[in-house]
Amino acid sequence: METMQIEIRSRRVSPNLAVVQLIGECDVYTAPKLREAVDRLIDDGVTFLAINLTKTEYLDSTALGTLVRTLKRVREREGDLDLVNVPDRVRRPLEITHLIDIFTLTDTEDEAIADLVKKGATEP
Amino acid sequence: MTSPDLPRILLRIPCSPEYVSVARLTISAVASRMDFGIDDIDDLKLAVGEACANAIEHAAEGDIDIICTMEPEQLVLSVKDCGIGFDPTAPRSQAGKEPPVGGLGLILIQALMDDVQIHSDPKGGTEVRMVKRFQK
Repeated sequence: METMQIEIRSRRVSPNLAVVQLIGECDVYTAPKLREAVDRLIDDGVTFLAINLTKTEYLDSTALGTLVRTLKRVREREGDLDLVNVPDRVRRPLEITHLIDIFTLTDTEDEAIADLVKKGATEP
Repeated sequence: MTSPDLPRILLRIPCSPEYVSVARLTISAVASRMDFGIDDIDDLKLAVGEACANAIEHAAEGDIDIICTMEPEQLVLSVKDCGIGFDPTAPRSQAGKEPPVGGLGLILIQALMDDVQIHSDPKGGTEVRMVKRFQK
């Protein structure tokens, strides 16, 4: 069954910093696509990630697991991951599981980029 | 026990991740039909999605049955699989897949629904029964 449930757009901001936009529903079916996309970036030298959730419609526990795994991977490489503009509809699962406390949240991509540069990312 | 006169919706999906969104869409339509608010509908979609994902994890094949019983003051959902069952009280890990966030699905279901019962049997599969009441 082919569906258009998720679209992942990534933009390299500097050699070790990228912004990823997660558009649509991220669940047990589509989370592996997010995992592949961020793994590719990390394998290519990205250690600082801003994941923009503005257009994310749905996050389930598999998606949360993927975000936590990604956070762990970049922190192992002395990097970090910020979540950008978390909408109310996906904030709930992050709050219930208390995972919201382990991510830095920002309102805009520019704020996330500034925060990640402060933490060691190469400037754009 | 459920009265046979209450409206019921039955959905059977293959035990495969790409069909979980179909279950979510169905629950959304049923809850909307019952005049649940948008936040409750989001809760129901997430809980049903997690119950289906749990079924997929523990039952590699067969179908998942989702039964929605529309009671006057609540929606009762049952998600059943034919898998090998699991111990819902045991700590879970997803070795080799994700960091130690296993069991998040059940935490979400417990937090989002008003009542949750899990019956798991190695021979008969697992049934997650969830109740969402109208907010007064």
